[in-house]
Amino acid sequence: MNRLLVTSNYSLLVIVLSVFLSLSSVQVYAETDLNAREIMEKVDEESRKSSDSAFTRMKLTTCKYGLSGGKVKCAEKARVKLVESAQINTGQDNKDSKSIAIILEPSSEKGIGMLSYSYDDSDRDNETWLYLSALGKVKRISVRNSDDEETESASIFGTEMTTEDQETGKLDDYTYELLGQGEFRGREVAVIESIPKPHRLSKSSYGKTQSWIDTERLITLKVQMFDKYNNPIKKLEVGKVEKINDVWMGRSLTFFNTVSNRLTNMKLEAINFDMEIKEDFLTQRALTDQAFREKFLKDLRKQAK
Amino acid sequence: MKELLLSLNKYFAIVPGQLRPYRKIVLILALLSTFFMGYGATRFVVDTSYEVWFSEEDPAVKSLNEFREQFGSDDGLFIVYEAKDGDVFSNRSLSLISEITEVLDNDEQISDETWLNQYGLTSKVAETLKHIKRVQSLTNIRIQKNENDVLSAPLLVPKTIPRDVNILGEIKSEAGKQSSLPLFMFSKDHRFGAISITTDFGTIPLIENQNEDQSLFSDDDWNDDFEDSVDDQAVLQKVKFKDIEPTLYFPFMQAVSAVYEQPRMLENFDFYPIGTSSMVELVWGTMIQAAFLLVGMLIIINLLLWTLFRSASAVVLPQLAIGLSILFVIGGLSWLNIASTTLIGLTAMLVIAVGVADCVHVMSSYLLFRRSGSAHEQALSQAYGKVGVPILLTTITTMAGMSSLAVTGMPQFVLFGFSSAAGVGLAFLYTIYLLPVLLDYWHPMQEKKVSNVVQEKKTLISLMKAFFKLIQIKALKFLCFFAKPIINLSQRIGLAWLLGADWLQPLLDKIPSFVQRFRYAVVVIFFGVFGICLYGATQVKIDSNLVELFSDDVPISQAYDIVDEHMMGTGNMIIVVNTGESDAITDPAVLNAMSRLQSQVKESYSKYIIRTNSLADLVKETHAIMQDDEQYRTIPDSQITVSQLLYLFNSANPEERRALVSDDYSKSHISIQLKNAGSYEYAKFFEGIRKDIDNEFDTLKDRYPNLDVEITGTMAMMMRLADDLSRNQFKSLAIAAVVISCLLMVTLGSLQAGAMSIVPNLIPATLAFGLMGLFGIPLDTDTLMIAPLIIGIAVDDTIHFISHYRMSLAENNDMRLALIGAIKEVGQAVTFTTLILGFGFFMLSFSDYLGLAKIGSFGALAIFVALLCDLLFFPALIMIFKPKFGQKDVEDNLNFIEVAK
Repeated sequence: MNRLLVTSNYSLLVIVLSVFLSLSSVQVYAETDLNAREIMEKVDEESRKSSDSAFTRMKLTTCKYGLSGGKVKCAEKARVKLVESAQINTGQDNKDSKSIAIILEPSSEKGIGMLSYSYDDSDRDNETWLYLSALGKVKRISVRNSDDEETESASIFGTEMTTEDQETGKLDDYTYELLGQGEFRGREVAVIESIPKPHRLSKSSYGKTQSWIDTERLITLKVQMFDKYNNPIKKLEVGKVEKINDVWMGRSLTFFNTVSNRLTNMKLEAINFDMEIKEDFLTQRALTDQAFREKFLKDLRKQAK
Repeated sequence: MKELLLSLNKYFAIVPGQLRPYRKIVLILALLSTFFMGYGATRFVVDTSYEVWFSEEDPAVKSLNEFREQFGSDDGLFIVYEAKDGDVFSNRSLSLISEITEVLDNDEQISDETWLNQYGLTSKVAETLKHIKRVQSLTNIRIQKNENDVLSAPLLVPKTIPRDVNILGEIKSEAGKQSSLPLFMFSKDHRFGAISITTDFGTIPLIENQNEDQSLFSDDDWNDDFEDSVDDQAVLQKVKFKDIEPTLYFPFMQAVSAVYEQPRMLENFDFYPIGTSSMVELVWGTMIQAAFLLVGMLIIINLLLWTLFRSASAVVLPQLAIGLSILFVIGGLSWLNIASTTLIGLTAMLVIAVGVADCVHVMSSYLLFRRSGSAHEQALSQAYGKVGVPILLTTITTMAGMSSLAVTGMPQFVLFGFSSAAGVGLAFLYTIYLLPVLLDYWHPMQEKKVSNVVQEKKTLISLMKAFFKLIQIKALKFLCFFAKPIINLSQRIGLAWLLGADWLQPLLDKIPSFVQRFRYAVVVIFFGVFGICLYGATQVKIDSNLVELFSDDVPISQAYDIVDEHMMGTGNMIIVVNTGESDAITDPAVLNAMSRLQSQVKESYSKYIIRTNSLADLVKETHAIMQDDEQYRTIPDSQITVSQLLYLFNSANPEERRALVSDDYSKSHISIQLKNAGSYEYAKFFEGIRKDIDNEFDTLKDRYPNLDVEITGTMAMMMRLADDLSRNQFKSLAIAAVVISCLLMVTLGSLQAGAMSIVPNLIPATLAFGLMGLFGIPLDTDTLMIAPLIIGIAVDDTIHFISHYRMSLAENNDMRLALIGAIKEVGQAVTFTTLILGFGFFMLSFSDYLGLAKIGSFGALAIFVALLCDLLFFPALIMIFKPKFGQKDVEDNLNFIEVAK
């Protein structure tokens, strides 16, 4: 209970997009041996640009899985979450951001919303409001930035995917090794192993990870995660690779927890950049006033393809 | 029966002579089989994991496995500390605890040399710290706050620990307001605090087929996309978890305690670690102590064998018998690919006892005949003729007693019973068929053969003989180097006289007249003792209490008392609620049932229960927080509201959510923190809780027909195991007594003789239980396990005594001669075995581990009392009842007093 709110300062949209985007950018430098700092700045810049005024609809499917005819299938009724989110960049140099995420499905969680304002100024705490539709209450969630170092890896929407899986930056925390280069699923790939350095290892759920990176399109096709005893415990498979807004992205990501035999598939059903999103919409009213919210969302859906 | 026994007697008498021509073949066969078994023994496996005690099909085991799979390990470490300044919230206390927490939480620094040096650990030991999944203490725990519609989860104690007393006071009062922190993180009087360590013990996945050699670039059947349609045919790959080996706990505990046992820490705190890890460390310590005591037991046995027989062969051969019998059991189990448990130690003890007894009887009888003038070969034949049948009888009864353990039906006990029976059987085979051959080569009172050696041709064989002789002499010299100072010392303090047994025969000579004079008194006293013991045995409480297994000066007892009194208790149990239906846990009716059950059991069993926790509590707390009103500390009426309250929790940390409720919200559990108590109390308590569970959840069965609510948890399982074991053991013990009694009646050939021999047999057996009952000492699993062993040993001597008397009566038809013969001949051997085993067992009573100490003291007591029964009670019974054991024309003049005059 005391960690109920630890991770709630994440802007949902930032999380969602960075999951997709980070896979396309992080390892560039590992491959090309560029200066880490320069690469990170580029990645950061790139993700900001891409997420400016974005509207997405994402479907999260979680289930216990098994093999049937050599294919991975859900072995039980899947739990499906449908989330819509919108984000704009604001403030000086567009370095601050405002975002909102609304749950459409399942019905028991319908209407739950989260509004986040994040600020570039490290002296200013990020702000997040949570709205639980069944209680009709808005609560501001406060987590001081100074506590961030304490934050451990946490799940995204309670799925098999964790914040650690999408983490960008902190490249100094790992050592990288090129395990080999070759052809994988018809693409030229480099397999890179990253091992967290000791200070990082204590916060990490993984002892090491191996990434299969498409060297031409600079996108990760697969990630295998190992625990601290070198057991393979999780993997990520990337599918439906498309070029969106000049960046290659996998629109279907599947995370397998090979110990609990559960998977989460995260599918970007819609993603649109450079949308016209009014700042008025990204306020608490959008959380509590259903009619107000629906009006805006309808408009955004119309804009989106 | 009489004829059978007499012919067996004759058979045993001729065995040594018949074996003599083939003695080389016997030796070669023995050597070959020893090599064979010795080679097998190199593959011997002892399974020390505790899972081995449970059948995989056991519902509680299944339930625990499912629990672990779903909710994670329940096997952590809880380090309670007492602040010497009396306040765990003082700046000093918090600063130091923060340091410990930091180190344990950032255990990956273990590769750092300075770190290893600082804590004096090897990297191998320090590496076990990676089993730590999470560390919680006052200095890193977060609290939940809701002020002005703002939810926050700040650290209870800021990173920079305040010095201002007022601020520290505020922290203290804030901590007191949290429902989850008092008793968990600090005691009510703030003297005690705790560091809670969650481990991955029992939840480390066992992943086979890692496909190490599979190329990084081989295809892995992944389709470009995933379809979420359900396929009922999909085959789940279940992941198994590694069994917990106690050897894992030991270095782990060593590493953790190295962190908190720094001088600075010890200046400010006393630490009391609680949990399986600390318990195993303690058991390890007592096991090392037990090993020393066993060495002491062996020294005593050696010393006694030497002083009683004054012959190197009498010291070496019996121990060779024991060694070989144990080796054969171990080798046999290994060849059969059966992993043994720690019970093999008890098998070894039984074989030691029985093997020593068998050989001592042979040696004692052999020496008696040698001293009365018989030559070696004749004496050997006479000795086997005398003791062969009694040894066979004792072997049969002990084997029957051990095999009766099989009625428990618990696989490990069946194995223990049968392997012990096999060990006893092997000791018998060794004594009858190998010992005479070895005695032919090397026996006490050896004739001087120096002249023969000179005359012998210098063949290879004689060279080898000389070589072995040399080795023998060297070995003896080596032994003497150690033995001499001890012998010298024992001579000075008069021990040598006591153990030299020169006093024994004169004393035995006086026994018949003494017994005759006081025969009625003796019988009344023994029957009185027997009666009291029987009454006492009915009062015995079967109870295994973890803490009471250790003597009071062992720190664990103190630690358990403190944690039970001031903190959240040392035990825990888990009630698993499996509704069998997705999302059913979010049904307010289910959560309310859980909540009501919690209050119900807390109220009914406040003596045991310190606190309870479940998903219902979490829902209530979140409800109150979201509504910003304490009135809402309730389960909401609507299932949607419950789902949304849980949404927040789930989004933040599914690990923690998964520790409380399953992914599909079909399973959850109530965890209950308990005070330590014995298995007897717990068994009753579990029964009561079972009824409460049924009362609360039966009404929900209409809505959820597959609803299943089970009690589980490592502790609950252990307690159930202890209770089951005790009951089963008691049953098998009773069966053993009946079986042994029946065997006695059959072999002694008459109901009267059988009945008469059962009573002296039952006295040593019931004595231990009787005394325990009278003094309120609970009978625990360990003591029960040893009971058949004690009975076996005590009964052995009595059987030797009675059967010797009976054989003698059959031969001479004279009660007086038979009784004198029995007392003089068997009396000596029985006294010897009693001294050897009695003192041997007595050594064990010095153990800090009361399980072993009880075995030692009660075992020694039973053995000594058995001697009194043989030498006083049985003769007195014969003098009063004059049983004829089915013989006719028996001379029954038993007047010893006049003869003595």
